[in-house]
Amino acid sequence: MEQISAILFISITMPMIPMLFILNDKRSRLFLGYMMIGSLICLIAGELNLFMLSLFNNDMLYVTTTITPITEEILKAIPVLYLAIFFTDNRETLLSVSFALGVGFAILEDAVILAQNINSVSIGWALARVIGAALMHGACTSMIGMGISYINKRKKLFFCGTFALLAAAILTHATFNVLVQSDYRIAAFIFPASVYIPTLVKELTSRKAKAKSDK
Amino acid sequence: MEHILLLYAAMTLSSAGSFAYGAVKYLKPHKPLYASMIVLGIGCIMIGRAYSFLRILTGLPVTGIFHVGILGIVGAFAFFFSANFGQIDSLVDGGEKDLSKYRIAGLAGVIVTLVLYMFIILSPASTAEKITDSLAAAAVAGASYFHVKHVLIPDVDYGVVKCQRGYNIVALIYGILCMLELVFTANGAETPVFVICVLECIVSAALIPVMHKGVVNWSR
Repeated sequence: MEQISAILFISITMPMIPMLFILNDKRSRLFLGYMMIGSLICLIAGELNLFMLSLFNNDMLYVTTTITPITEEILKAIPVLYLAIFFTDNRETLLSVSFALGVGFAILEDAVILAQNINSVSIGWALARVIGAALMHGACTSMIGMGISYINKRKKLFFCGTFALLAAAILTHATFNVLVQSDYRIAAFIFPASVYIPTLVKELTSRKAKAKSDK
Repeated sequence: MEHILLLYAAMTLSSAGSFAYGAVKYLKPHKPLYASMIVLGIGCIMIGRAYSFLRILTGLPVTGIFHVGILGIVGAFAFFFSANFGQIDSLVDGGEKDLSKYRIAGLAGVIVTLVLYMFIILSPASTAEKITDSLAAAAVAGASYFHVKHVLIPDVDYGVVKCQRGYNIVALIYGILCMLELVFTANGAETPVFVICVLECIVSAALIPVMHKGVVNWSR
């Protein structure tokens, strides 16, 4: 049972590797690659969280509401930062890639939770995970990606802005984790959507405005 | 316990009101990034307070341990710092010698924050709390430097900083209130914490409308 995360990673994520070489569109390869990296980060975060759990006397509630949001958000930010430093600081690309990474993370996390609770899961649970955890991971990583996009354009904004966005992402993640483990679980599944929907509306509006100005 | 819960609910709602107002006005295309960052700062305060509120609601402690609620204050002041340092400061300060007195005056904000933090260091609070509070103190100190500087510095060329004096004063007051909240919490003084939190409700609700007034004046 201890190796379940690694087994799931091998069986869910690794079959995508051959597909990476088949895809001829560079952007598709980038997004698929980052989804796979997201799963890998989830695997690493799982091990790190187990170590943290032993450090904090197996206090599951404390670790999941305080420590894991910090470790997971920092780990998820590293590949996005790498992309921004060495390849592109295009805002749209970084936002999409961040979201793909978050979703990749959520896919493996959901699979691990599913395997560990196989007797108690349902379709309702699966749908709740989609609109809850998957959206939350995607939205939180995108928040950080937004700050990182300033890396070359506005260095003065990059350092503090990214740190502030990382703080916001950690807080959003931690709030979700508290809600999930409280009696107000239903709110946990509305909360990520309340972050995602306004962000989506903003993105669509700015895309529309950009298309208009390009004309 | 119930009055603490109500207090956190009030702090969440007041910052949520301010954030919602700012989000409607500024989180859209072709709006000044400076204002958007301040709105996101208030958003950080809102999520931080909401997190602490939920911790209390679910029976988890909020004092004496490290928890991420403090990141609300850290994130907010990092945004305020970034907005002033990254967007506005270069408009009024090109490094001229005659402006050095304003740079020195800005240090007053840092010194006040550090003095308040000394009271936390000397308090009977746990080491985890002192370390956590140091993060907030660092963020408040950095932001306060620019708040004080931008209140005092003459703005003859653009008039942007002049229009935002009101906001900088309110944000400076909010920073001091946050530090006082941490000081009294660390010393276990419940009544002053209650009073400060009530004041924080008022100040956080006023922050975005005051900033908006400044933006309207400069774009006139």
